[in-house]
Amino acid sequence: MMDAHSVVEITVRGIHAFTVAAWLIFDFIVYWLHFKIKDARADLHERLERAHIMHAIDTVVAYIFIGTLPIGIALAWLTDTPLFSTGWLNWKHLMYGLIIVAAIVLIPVSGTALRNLEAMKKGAKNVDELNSQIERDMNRAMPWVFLIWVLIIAMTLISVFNLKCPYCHQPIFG
Amino acid sequence: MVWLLWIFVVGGGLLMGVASVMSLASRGFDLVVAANALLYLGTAVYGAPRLLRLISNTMRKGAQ
Repeated sequence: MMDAHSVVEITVRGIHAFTVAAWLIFDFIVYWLHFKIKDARADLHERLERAHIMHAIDTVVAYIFIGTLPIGIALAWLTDTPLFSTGWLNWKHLMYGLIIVAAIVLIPVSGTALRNLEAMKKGAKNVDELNSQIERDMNRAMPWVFLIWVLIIAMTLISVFNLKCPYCHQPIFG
Repeated sequence: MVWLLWIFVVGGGLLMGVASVMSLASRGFDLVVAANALLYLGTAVYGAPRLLRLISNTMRKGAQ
């Protein structure tokens, strides 16, 4: 029979895993959407619609990204694991820190597409310039987006291979 | 949203940075933990003036 502590621990662990999975899936959707948005030959209405969807998903991703750290800290507290106590956890924190750096780089370029497409819809004259800005910012963001994907996948694999059974506290894949 | 992001960068950076420095002090030197300390405190130091600017701009707009 599971005690209350184990139930809470498994629940928090599940939320932690679920949010990271959602983060990665949403990132893939945003990546898929960006092709049409930066395509200057595509219909403006369609591009703007996709930019709105991308912006909404990006907002959710930002909340998930911010929420991952407190949920992870809560999990460490629940499992009596000091934050910098094991090699794999230290590496995981380092990777998350690199994602924060990537996020800092992405903050200034994240709103360009929606802002410029809105301006075009309102009849801005410098359409070519606005389109090239969208393409430039999106292309500039790509290496950082790929870095985030690689880091999330690496963090997930590290976590899975160091997963411990909640009853016996022994590594499952040990 | 941008508020939350900068508060997170500074707050999270400080929290994780201080925790890693405390770990270095209590458990001895470890290269990965030291890299963590550098990275998190670095992001906090980078984000602090931006957060302060955001606060002062908001207060200035509020006063006008």
